[in-house]
Amino acid sequence: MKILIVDDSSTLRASVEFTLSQAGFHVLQAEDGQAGLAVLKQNEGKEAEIGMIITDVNMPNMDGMTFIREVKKTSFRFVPILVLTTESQDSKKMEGKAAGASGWLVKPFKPEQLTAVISKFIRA
Amino acid sequence: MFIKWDARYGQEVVEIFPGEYHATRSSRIISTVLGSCIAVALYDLKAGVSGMNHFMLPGELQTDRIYVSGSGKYGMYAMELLINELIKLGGTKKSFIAKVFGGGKVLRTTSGITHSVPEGNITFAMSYLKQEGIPIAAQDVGGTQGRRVLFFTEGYKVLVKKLSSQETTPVESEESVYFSKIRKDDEKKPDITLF
Repeated sequence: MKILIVDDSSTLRASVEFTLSQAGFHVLQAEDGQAGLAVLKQNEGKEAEIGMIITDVNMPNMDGMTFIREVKKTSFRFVPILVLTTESQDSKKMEGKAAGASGWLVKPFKPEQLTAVISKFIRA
Repeated sequence: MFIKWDARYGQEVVEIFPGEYHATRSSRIISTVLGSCIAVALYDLKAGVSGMNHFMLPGELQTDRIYVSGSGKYGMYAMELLINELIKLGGTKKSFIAKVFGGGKVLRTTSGITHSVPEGNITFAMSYLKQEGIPIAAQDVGGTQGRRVLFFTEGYKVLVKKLSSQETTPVESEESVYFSKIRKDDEKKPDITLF
């Protein structure tokens, strides 16, 4: 099962890939919302292989909220989306929910916390 | 954090403390006093934005793969807060340049902070900036003295004054309190919301 991580931090993407690959997932990476949409487009026809999308909020080119709204217009609209961010305000969480996010995890997080949240949606 | 007027330099000075950061488009001085902690100053020449943080990892780094280390995650969080603020002010990460300071072995081990913690702070900062593709234009790290760091956001110059043991003593207690706090924060329940 594949998981797409969208975050402008190379270190964060490496961290998530390390954690999730140990849990048995194959991780795809993108550095911003636009790159994330490009990865999904490359995987059109293989929607069932993408189990989850994880996205940051503050990114250049296309931010997380816009990315989520765009994903919801594609053939990947049923894939659960987890927001992984430093933003913790309730207003931001509600904005994420309205955009179509399935969950919200505030950084910093421990690896087991990330895998526990993901396990509520999918298995490797 | 507090802001005061510095008559000597004729500018506002924003004083930041452990765990804090400040980003701005204005001409001012961002100042901090460092013991074991690290301060990373970032600036974007094109956008005219800059900022600085002041942080410490809540434990030893244990590995060069900073994204694997539990302590490294706190450092990633501290850097992301500053970077996000600079982006909100109009900065572009690909244009960022860094200057790195601190990581002195100044704290007595009775504070709970072993000498490997400042070394880990330095290793983290350098590894993180390299991984993120942010060039380091200057650094003054390590040693056994505290530092007063003044980052001039107009011109992006930094003045570093090495401190005597006596001048470093107040920093020791501030950093010990901060270290205890972030260790406790590390044990807190995660902030998770399922919609």
